[in-house]
Amino acid sequence: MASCRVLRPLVAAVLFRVGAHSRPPWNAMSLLPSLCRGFSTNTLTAAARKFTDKHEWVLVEDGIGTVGISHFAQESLGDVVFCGLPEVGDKLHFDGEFGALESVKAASELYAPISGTVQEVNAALAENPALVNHSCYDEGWLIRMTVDDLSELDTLMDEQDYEKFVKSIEE
Amino acid sequence: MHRSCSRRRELAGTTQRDGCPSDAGHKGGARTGFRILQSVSTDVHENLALEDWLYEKDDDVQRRRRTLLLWRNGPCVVIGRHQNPWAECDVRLVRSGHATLARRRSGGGTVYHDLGNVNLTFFSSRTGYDRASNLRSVVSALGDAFPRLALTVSPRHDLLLDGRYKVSGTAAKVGGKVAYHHLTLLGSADTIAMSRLLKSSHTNGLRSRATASVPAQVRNLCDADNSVSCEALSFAIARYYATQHGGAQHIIEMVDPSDETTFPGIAKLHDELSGWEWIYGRTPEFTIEQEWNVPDDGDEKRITFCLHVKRGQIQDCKLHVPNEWLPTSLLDALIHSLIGVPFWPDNVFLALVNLKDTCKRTEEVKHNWEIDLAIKGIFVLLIQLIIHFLINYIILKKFVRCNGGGFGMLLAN
Repeated sequence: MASCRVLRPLVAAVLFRVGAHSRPPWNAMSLLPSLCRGFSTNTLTAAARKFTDKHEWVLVEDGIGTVGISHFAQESLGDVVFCGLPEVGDKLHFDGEFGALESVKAASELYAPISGTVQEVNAALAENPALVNHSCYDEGWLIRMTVDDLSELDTLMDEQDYEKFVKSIEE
Repeated sequence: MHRSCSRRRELAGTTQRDGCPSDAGHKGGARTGFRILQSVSTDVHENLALEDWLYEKDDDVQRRRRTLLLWRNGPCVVIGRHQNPWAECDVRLVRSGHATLARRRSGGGTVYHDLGNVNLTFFSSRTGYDRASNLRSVVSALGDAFPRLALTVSPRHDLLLDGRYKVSGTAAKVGGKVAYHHLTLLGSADTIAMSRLLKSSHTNGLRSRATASVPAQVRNLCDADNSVSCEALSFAIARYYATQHGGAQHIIEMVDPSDETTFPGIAKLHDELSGWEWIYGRTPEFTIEQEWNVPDDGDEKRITFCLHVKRGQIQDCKLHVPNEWLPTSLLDALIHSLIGVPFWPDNVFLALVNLKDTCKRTEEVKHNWEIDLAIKGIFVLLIQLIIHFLINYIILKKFVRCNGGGFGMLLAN
């Protein structure tokens, strides 16, 4: 925790710098929920989620990244019937495959949005894989992992950029 | 760059050129927006490795060039990526050499292949991935070549003959940029062997959350039109595929998936796909519970045996035998010897034999016959299963004779 306290202001500084160039600063702020207390939370929490171009999202809170798939992805997949997920302790690499979701007859690969080590796997999905469809941003999360390199988050899209990206695909 | 050496065959004619053309249909005027490959191998693991290689490493596929791969296998059972082989097929029959078992990278259910079956793999970009469209193409291609075949695409993306019999199973793997959709086509497959193999040896007592196959009644296309052969099916589909993608004249490139020079790194993919760790070890965790009665002085005693298997290894074991048969210390020793061991009948049997040897050495038990009885119990179970299988086989054979056609039950997706 001590290291987190030291890191946070540094990370915030980096993120503000990124924000100044390309994204509004409140997006960057929202990556660090502890710094955002006192602000209205809903918009900020939504904006804190970062997306990959392969439709995974990651939300970093207190140094732990929660990973899931986007609404667009779950809709494209159809009914998820099995979640092939890694084991706790597995090391994931940025953009590397880390499992697959099976929907009707298709196995769709999952790609790690950041590098780190798996800390927790959503056990509820073993019993009820459809949670990925019903609650992709909440109960249908896939894994929780450590964050090896916070700068990797800068390469990901915030929610607004991701929405534009999805629209460009749909067109 | 994938340099396909080996033979090329003019689809429209009989010309077949041997050797290794320098461009292999990839460069200059010969390059089109699509390409058709056919594997010369009939080894399921080699062919799955070829699919993997094209998906992961082939430049043309990575550049979103549409690719169709045609392939056939010797007798084999192919399970889906997240399936349990013990739930999907008769593993004992597979182990006795009747067929090869393979786990593919795509989702979906279990299928049986032999040389009477043609497999097609459509490679595309992730955004261009469209199973329904591929299936419609197959229906059109076969409709042109064999007007007597009445084929339709079901909502589950199966191909149905006469609106009823399944003749094709579909599955797909979708990656970040590239995807493939593969499907089977039953030309003249051995449906008797299919029925025998796709019958789980553990219908009772196996609990798993793995993807389960959906059984369907199947039929060979040659039963509806005797001019159907695997070669004719491949030809019709390749011709239609080329026409569909703007090719006036086109070539089927014959490729050899055992050729490491043409496909660098394919041997590693093959080794991974044919290894125990992938085929059996990647089975989603499951519990298997068996119980059986063993005669004991005119009476019957019940033995129950429950194993929890994760990543192919026994994680937990519960064994209940009558108290007078096995002392608690030995029971614990047996359970202990099974935990952490790969789930494989030989290992379970070996553990029992080892235990018996230990008993002999230490004379911990005066009546070794007690252990013999436990082993005998397993044999009793095996014999029961064999009888069960024989009865089913005879019934099925009669059924097929009576109906005069080659159809059985296929456990497929």
